[in-house]
Amino acid sequence: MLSLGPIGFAAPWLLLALPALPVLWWLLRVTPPAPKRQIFPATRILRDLRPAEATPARTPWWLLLLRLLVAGLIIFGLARPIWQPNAGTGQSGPLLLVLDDGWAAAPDWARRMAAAQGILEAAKREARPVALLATAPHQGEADQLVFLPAEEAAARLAVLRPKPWAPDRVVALTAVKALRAANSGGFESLFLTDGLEHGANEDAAPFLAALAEAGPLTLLHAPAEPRRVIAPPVLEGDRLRIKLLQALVAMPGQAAILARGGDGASLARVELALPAGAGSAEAALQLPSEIRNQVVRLELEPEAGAAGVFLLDESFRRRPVGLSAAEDTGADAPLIGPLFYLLRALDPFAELRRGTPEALLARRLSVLILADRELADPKEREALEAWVRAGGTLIRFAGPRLAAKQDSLLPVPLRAGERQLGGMLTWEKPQTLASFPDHSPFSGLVPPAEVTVERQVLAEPSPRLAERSWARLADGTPLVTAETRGAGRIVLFHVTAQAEWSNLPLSGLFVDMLRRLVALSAGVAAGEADQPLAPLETLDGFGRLGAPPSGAAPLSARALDEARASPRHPPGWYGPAGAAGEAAYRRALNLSTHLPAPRMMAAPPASARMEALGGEAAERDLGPWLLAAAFALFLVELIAALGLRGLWRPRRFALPGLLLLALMPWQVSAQGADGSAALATRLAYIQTGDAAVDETSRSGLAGLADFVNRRTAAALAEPHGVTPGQDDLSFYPLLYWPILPDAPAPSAAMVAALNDFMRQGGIILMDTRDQGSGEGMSPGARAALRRVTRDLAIPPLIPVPEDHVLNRAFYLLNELPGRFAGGQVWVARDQDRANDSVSPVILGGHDWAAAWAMDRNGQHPHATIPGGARQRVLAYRFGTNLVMYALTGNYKGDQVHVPAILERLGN
Amino acid sequence: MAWRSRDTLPVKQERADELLLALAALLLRGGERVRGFGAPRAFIGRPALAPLASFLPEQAAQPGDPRLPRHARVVLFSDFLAPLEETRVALAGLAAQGLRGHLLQILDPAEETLPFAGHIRFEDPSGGAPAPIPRTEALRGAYQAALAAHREGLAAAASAMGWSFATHRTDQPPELALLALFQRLEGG
Repeated sequence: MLSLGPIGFAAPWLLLALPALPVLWWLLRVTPPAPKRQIFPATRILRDLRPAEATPARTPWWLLLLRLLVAGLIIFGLARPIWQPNAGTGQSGPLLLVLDDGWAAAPDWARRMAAAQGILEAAKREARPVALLATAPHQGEADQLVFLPAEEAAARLAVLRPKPWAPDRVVALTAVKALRAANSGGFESLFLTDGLEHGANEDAAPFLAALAEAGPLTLLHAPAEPRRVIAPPVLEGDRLRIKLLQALVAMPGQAAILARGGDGASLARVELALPAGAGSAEAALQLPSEIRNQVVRLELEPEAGAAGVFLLDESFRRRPVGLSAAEDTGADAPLIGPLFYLLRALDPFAELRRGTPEALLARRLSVLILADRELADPKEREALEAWVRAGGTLIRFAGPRLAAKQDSLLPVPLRAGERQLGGMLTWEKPQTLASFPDHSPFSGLVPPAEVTVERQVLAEPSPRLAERSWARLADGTPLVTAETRGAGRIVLFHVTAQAEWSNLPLSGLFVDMLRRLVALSAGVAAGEADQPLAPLETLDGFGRLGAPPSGAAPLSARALDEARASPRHPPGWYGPAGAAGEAAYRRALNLSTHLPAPRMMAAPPASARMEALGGEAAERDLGPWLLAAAFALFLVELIAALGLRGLWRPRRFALPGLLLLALMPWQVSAQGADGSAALATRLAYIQTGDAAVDETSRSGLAGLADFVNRRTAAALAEPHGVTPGQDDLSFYPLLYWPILPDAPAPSAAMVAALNDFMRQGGIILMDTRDQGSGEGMSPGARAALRRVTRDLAIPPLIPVPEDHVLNRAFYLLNELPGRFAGGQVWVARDQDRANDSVSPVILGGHDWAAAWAMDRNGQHPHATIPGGARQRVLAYRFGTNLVMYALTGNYKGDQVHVPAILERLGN
Repeated sequence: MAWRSRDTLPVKQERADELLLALAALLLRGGERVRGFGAPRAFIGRPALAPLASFLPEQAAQPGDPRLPRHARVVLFSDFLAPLEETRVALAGLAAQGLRGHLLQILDPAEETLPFAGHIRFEDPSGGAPAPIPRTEALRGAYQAALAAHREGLAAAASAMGWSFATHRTDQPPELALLALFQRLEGG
């Protein structure tokens, strides 16, 4: 390797060809280019003249110079010049390359690999033996660390991937010690470190000391790169508190956490600001419970590898639990109310709703708890029975009412009346609980001795009583019985839900039992504590889910809580073998559960050299560039030589070509300018001032326009954002208006413009974005709607009738879904002949623009809820109908089309 | 003759035909009889101009017609770039018949100035051997001298027989040459 300043040559012997250039000069001089041909009538005279001057033709000097330049460039190019050849030059002897390949190395893995490859490339040129040590533990036995030729080390480097667990520097230290023992001469070390302390103890310092002791040590690290970890989130009431940890960074940062559903749809996004020097940041994820229960994965943005992914399993789902007592008044009276203990026990981990069973069942419900409430109404019983068979879990508590009057919704037939233990007139003492049977979901819980039962309802003895008993008293009488009905269950506590009949509600056991029952409502099978859970899908170092590696081993549910991410147990989803799939019970093993907060490594020994990763320019092979330049110059030379021979007329081709090249960028940019709003039919949205909402509106209308243009004869241009009162609305047939919860009352000019717009036949689609399945997504939007529309001339509204033109303007529709479905959409009640009876206002809350929106890649950025491709298609169809309605009015409502529609319905 | 150095100039042959027809038109209008070498008979009267024009492509390559009446006047349009001796022989043949006449040498400006430079292989359109010239610019002076000598030879040959000699460049207006020719015919 020869180096001249910042340039080194890998094949310097080729430079010996440079002295041959003067020879080339002479050769080129004596071989001039071929002559130009010229027809000339007086050639004869010239011919007679020729002997008079016989000067040989000469190659023009500039052409000669050009050719020499080409030859010189080729020689330099073949000598493999390298710009800023890498570190390690000048050194010799063996080299130890240490790489941190744990979770913290994933975000800038490509840069690390490039740096390591550069080092190995330099070592290869210098023929230094290299030992490659990756500090994260990997599958199988640790290899003996030996010095290899650099080529072999490069091959080993190429297969390295970041691991979704932490490096183990203690193991690395023993490997280095063994290497040191085998090589008494010492060696140079390069440590590509992630800069973090990974063990509980200060493991990095002895490791660095051992490296420094063996020879010169250089540390390559990326000081600016924040190392972030999503800490295990905490369920707190109705929200999920998310904490982001990072190693101390001097610069303030910004991060976002995405909540994704099982199908990868991103359901929510929270922004976190990390001030300079902060070690952590917190944010709360507040979502309606139905939607939050779909979240299975939290992801950090920008991507941070396995540490930036947190999988949420059952333990993070809050299930809606309905509570109903016989009398609602006083049901939660402290200490004596029938629901008091239930509310206190369930509140931390379930979403609680109260009301009559009928009202509760109107929404989706996982568990319904009836505290000593008789079911006298047969219609109510039927509804409950159907709900249980469809998968609901009904939990009932006994009491005086139930003891007096039984019904069909009980797991076991009961004897009339109740049994009293330890009363004034009985021989028996209050009973304690027996240990829970194995088939019971309570198995594993230890009943405390102080829990006693004084009174209970008794089950009629029946052959199946034993298997239906989930908990028994010490004398064998059932305390909790359950029966499976259809896909659901009925569970009966044979005691009251308050401390009247037993002190069970006062104990911690009560909370655990209820928690297990609520967890059971999701289909969690019983008796799982010791069941082995096989890895179903595991994360790789980059935080992507994939098939588990071959070395991944199953572990029991109990061990899962204690397990640290390791090669044997990579982070990911674990579940009963053969039960893969969304619905099956599965548990998550997360990297960050047992990860200490990231902290910086101790300072290296004074002798070590620190270098920033990627701070120096990576070495660059200049050879290809020089050869390309030589080729380009050769082309110039060719054109010049052709010109000299008269075969190339530069002004004929070259100039127009150059002009064309020069003009092209301007022409392209000139096309970007937009015409006036009047030149094309287009949809418009009202700008709310919230950049994210406006962007959704814009991309939504653009996506709809695209759909409509493909499916119908309408030709819609790009949508416009407008501000009523400032922009002229008369060009737009339809205005989309998302109502934000904090929308201010419109100004007088805005009201006048909108009223005028509606009077002239325009349609406003108002969207509160909180209806149907999106209930609770935009709290306060309805109040905002009232505020916003107070001064608008909105006619009386009714729910969209089944035969409304909106339902059949282009497609025949039964519902008008958007991102959400199931809500009510309102239109004008009265027919107004002035505007062809077109409703000036369509009011709903399905967040239509989000359903129509499409990003640059043609993907839908907003998941539909409850979901599915069908809902998206229907949303587009509604949009098409809407555009047709706006463009053609009640044309489809004409009686003229009745026969055609009848015929179609007949088919 | 069928050559021009630039697209903006007329081909020498065109200029020659143009001058010939213009002169013939003047002469026919004056009641003269006009004949071309190789034509079976003379053209007479104004209407004969069109037949004369259509005859032009068929005229004989070499001047000479034994049937020409004595004292007829001959006008020869050419670049006269053939070897001087050949031209002199042809003129002597005509003079021997007792004919008198005029020579008009029509040249392209490039043929006078030799504006080329560099290594050029010159090719003779009449089929002579090509002349590769390594540095044309170095030969310019010698060429102009040789051309002047050639012209002097032509002029000498013409005046020896009592003929006149004039030159015309295709970048000059043809009217001047026409006027000079016509005056000579009138005067002589």
